[in-house]
Amino acid sequence: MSIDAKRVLISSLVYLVIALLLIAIMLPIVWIVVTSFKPESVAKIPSVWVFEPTLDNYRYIASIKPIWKPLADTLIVASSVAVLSLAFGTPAAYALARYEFRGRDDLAFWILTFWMSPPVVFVIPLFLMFDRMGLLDTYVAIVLAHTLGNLPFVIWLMREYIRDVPREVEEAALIDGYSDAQVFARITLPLIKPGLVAVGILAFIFSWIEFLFALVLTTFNVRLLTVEVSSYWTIAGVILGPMTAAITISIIPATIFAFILQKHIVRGLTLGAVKGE
Amino acid sequence: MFLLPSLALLVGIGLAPFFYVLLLSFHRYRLTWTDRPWEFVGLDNYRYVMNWERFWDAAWNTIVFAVGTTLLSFAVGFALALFLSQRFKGRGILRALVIIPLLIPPVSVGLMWRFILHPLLGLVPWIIKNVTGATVSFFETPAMAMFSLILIDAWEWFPFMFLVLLAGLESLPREPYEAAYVDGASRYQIFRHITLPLMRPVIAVAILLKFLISLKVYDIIYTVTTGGPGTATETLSYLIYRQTFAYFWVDRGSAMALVYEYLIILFAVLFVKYALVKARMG
Repeated sequence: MSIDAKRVLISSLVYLVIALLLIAIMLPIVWIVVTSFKPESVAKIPSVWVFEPTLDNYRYIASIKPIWKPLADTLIVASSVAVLSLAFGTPAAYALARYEFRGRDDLAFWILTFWMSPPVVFVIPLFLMFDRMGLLDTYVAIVLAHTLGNLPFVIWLMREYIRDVPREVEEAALIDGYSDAQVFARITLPLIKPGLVAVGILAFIFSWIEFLFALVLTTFNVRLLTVEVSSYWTIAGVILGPMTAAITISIIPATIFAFILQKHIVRGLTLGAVKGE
Repeated sequence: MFLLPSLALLVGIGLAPFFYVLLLSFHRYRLTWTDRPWEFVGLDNYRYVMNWERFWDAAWNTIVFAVGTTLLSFAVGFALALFLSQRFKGRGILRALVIIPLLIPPVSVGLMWRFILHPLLGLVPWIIKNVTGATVSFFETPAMAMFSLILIDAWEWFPFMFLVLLAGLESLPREPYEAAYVDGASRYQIFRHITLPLMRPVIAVAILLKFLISLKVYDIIYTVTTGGPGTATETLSYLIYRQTFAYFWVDRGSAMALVYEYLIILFAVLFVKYALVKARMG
């Protein structure tokens, strides 16, 4: 076989493998969405590919085991977490990016250890403490817990965005007589708006998908989507069709944000260690 | 001044709970003992944990799981990153599509796969049966259950590897590649002698971060195997959760959580000190 023919063969093989890989990757999501439109009689039969689509499963999660409360609560909690994480994290990031002080890098690393720690280390004491304060199963408890979980990455990430802002701009404002706080609020913040949006969305998603804190710190007053979804398949059995509908609902933000976030997520997940742009 | 709100929060609901756990780990206390005070027992809980085989089994399971999913997600993520760093039409859409698994709640990922791999209800066993005639059960034996969990987690996390490595690939300098083309190097030679060495630091970061994340695994254990069969897929997070909130041994749970925490921090520090520095130098 000539070298050229060999090349063509190898590269078409590579493309075939990649294509199969992509199909294998998307298949589970497609199958769940497809199953959520299956009538109950065929939901449990994997060989049925053609059927008359029905909204029965969605009717089930709309009225019989209503998903509205978990959905609303998750939206409330995740939005509050996004706003709070930014409100707390951005000023801290600014200080860590712009001011020289002793132990600054140690402090930054110390903040990072919270990100490395397994959530289970914090969920035990937070459960006991919130219990004592009568805060179990309240929005306050879960929002604070999620904000704590998000803060390290928000700080590290915003620090990267702030470092990208040229110092000269801020110095010029200082000469014009702005105070430190004014420089931060009027000069820096507007310049890092894209960063704020991206990090805010990431904080929102991390709260939306979090499970352990939700499981331990909330029950009835506050009911989060991940806990609701997990309740469809327990030792008591599985409610299959409606479960696939609930899962479909739970992945909507992922599909929307995947397209918006693409570039920013890299920074978000590596805490700025690898830049996305 | 800018730092105050964050520090207050980190100390208030981060550091304070940490000391609370520390204190608790030296006492005897169960969640059900509402009217009994903590009883000081010194290092008893630690002694118990250190000699408890199930704890070390869970630690081993956690490591096997973490190594497996890190390697698998790396392989898939790197392949796709190499592929999608080329320029072609529809690249943007493909890039967005492949990162979706990462943004799905892990609980949903777990249930989704538990359904798809289910021996009777699942699509995958059905396909395998029709193509090869073989019956595969994904959760029956300890080895298969662990393998399935690794598969599921790698599916969820390969986009992470993909994104990190893609960012790395796109920030590589152009010059060595141009020189190689001029010298007539083959694609494989370019990959082996230019891309790989240049990518080493990024690969090290990606693997470290994913490994650290994998050590914390909880959600998919809870939704897919609940640690079974037996305790074959019980990881540290899951064991500690069960001991604390199902059997109410908060004291023992606290001691285990702290040992767990220190092992992770120790690993992170060692890795950052040696491997990462070496990768940067190398």
